[in-house]
Amino acid sequence: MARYLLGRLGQSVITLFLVSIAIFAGTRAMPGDPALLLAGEDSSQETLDAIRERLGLDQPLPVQYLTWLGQMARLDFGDSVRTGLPVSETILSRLPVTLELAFLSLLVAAVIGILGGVVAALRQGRPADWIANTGALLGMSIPNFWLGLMGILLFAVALGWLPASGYVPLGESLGGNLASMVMPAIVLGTALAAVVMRQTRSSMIEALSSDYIRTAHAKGLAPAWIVLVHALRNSMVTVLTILGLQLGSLISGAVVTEQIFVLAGFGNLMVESVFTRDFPVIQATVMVTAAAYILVNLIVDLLYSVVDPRIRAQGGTR
Amino acid sequence: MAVGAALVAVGCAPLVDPQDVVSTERSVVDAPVEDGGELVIGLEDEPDALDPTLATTLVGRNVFISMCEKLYDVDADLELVPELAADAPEISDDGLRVTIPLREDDIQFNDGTPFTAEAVKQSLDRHRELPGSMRATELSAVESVEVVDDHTIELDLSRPYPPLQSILADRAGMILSPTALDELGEDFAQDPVCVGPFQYVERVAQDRIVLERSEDYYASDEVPLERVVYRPIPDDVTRLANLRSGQLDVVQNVSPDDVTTVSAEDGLELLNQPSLQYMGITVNVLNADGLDEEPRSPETVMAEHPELREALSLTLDRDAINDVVFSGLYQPACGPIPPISAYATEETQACPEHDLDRARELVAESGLPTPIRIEMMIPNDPISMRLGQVLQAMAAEADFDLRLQPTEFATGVAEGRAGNFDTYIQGWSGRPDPDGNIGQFHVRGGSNNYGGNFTEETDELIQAAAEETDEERRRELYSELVPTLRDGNSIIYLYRNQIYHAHRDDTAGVVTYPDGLIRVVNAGHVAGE
Repeated sequence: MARYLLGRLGQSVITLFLVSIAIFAGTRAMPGDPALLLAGEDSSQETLDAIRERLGLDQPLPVQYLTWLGQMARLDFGDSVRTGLPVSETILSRLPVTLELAFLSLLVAAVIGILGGVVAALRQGRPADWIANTGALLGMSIPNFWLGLMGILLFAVALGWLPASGYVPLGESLGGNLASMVMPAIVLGTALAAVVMRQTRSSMIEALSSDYIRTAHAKGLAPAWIVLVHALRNSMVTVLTILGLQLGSLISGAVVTEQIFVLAGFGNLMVESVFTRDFPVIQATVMVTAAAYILVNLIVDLLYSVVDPRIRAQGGTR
Repeated sequence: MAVGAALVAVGCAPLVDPQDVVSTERSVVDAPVEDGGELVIGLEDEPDALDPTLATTLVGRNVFISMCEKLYDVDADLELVPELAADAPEISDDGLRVTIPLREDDIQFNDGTPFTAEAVKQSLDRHRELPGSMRATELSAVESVEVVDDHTIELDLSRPYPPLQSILADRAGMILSPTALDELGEDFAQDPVCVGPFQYVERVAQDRIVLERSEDYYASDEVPLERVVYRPIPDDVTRLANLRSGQLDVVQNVSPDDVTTVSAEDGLELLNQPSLQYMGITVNVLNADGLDEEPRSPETVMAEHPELREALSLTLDRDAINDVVFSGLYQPACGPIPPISAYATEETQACPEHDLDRARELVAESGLPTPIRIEMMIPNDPISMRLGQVLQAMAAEADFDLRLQPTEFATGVAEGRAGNFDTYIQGWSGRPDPDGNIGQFHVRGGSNNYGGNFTEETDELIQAAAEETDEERRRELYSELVPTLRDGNSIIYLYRNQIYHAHRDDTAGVVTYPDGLIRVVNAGHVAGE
């Protein structure tokens, strides 16, 4: 297991290195010029040259790349081109918002999705199944931004129950924090819940029709025990994979959700930095996202061996 | 996010005639306000660095106006008035020496440092000399800054420069605390200190900028608010929803789609001012290789046939554009000088009539095969796209085949500068001094002259007008210049924005002038609510 883990970590480092090249090349290949954007409306040639010099954009590309790698090795991401504030500080202030949003949305997705999936599988072809499936279809097809705006209109503007925007840190007020996060989490969680529900339903149907379930019934085990312990546990491998893979849609969904609810999160930061060609911020955010991706996939792989002992027995060769 | 339509159904607002809305100008809602409280202002974009030497964004000026006073300011009529200066500048007969008297009433920066002539010199020198300074070009006529005595400074110029006073009414005239400058140097933006009603407290990038009432401010007992918070919310619909739900007290720039609703909505107040801005079609006439290279024609039909540029202009019905795209809430524009300017004359405000017959004639005279294909680079937001489609339909009437190239802002600016366009929809935020709306767009090598067009005659006229110190003579020069520029059609002016800000009705004293800035020095929450 330790060797497996080390191997995987080694792979991750190489992946991150390759990603860093791709990110650097990507930002430099983007049309648009940070100096020109920064110069704003009064952009004389001298001004542009001065900005490029200040930002180090006058250096040859390989030098810029190596400087950046060197900075990252010291966990220094430089200063934002737009605001002049240190990038690492900005990212650290943003991450908790998005992590909380992601966690709460996953919670929403897991609870609604798994519950719905199990019920639908048990009541296959009956009204409960129909309702769950229709709900999933709606969840998948309603765009985030529409749902978010409708939520704001109803709960913030018309009823005044929840704030329309903003983030209250957990340390400041628990109630305020949850009030500010509940709408975003539900908006972001629903689409994901739909995917989880569909997946749980089909895995459960498959599991429920397998031989060991029949055997369990024959043994006279309680039906609830059979469903929860035998069928559900075996269905979880695919569901976990889906949850891991959905991290991508979670991040892209967070971008939109954060913009609607004006949450100063990571997704918002990434999008804004692209529009303002804020190279240090783009590079840092994409790098952190890539690292998160790699980490989550690693965790999901490790979790497989927890849910499925066969993987553990094979020494984690998958 | 083009979801404006989804929100129209909010509250059932009575029908309002847009014409009534446009004509009801209002710069402030007056009411007695109580002491204390917080005002949250929704801005349409994230300000850049809060350092007056380095800052460039228009949106950032809204924050500066609450925390950094300038030597001069503009009033409701865009007249220059002294702020940190004691009086108007005294200009020598040859126009080369400008003496500025400073306030003598023992004022302080917000960190308690006394405000002196020495401090003014230090800031002006920083604006002129700091590497990467965005003020260097604006102050390029200034050769040196001398301290005459504790309350007087003198600027020596290399050429007469009448716009100087208006330049000093913006960021170039902001004076920074010498103590903060010594401490932070280039990182001034991380904790800016000036003379101003509010003092910077903190900034969380893209989330909020927090200011608090300054006890060191010379008129702090006239400032009702305890705190001002700026929150960037780029999406129009979200910004307005946050005003309605009470998360925001004030919003910048209500979208024209929502203005009539807001004007009649209970609980909201609309501020309405004419602006200095314009939007136009820049035609690439002489910028084939980029602004830094020698002027050369891109050899497109629009570059080589001035009569086609005129024809395109004649196909445009500017009133219809205003009605269709902006619900009639903006103003048609045909030149760089806004009607509210002291330099607005019959000649500078004249507008070519919408004349389809003449346009078709000109197209026929060009002898080119029709339809005449033109590429048009245009910002990719929904309202610009709507504008593009209207232009397309209008131009088609005279056999122009207008192809839209929706382009994201940053890319557009870079392509514009590099000369990689045929025509480009481009706007300008406007300056009170006419030269600020003309010079850099029309002279050879002008930093915003993306179309590259110039002629020797107009260059001379532009310079003469910029340097003329006699106001009447200057007005004559502009009355001669603007029609010449219009006939060249290197920029086909389209419309002028109207400024619409809104706030909740429990707020009063928020002031807006035609410069569009949101002034909250005397704002507060209405007393007794």
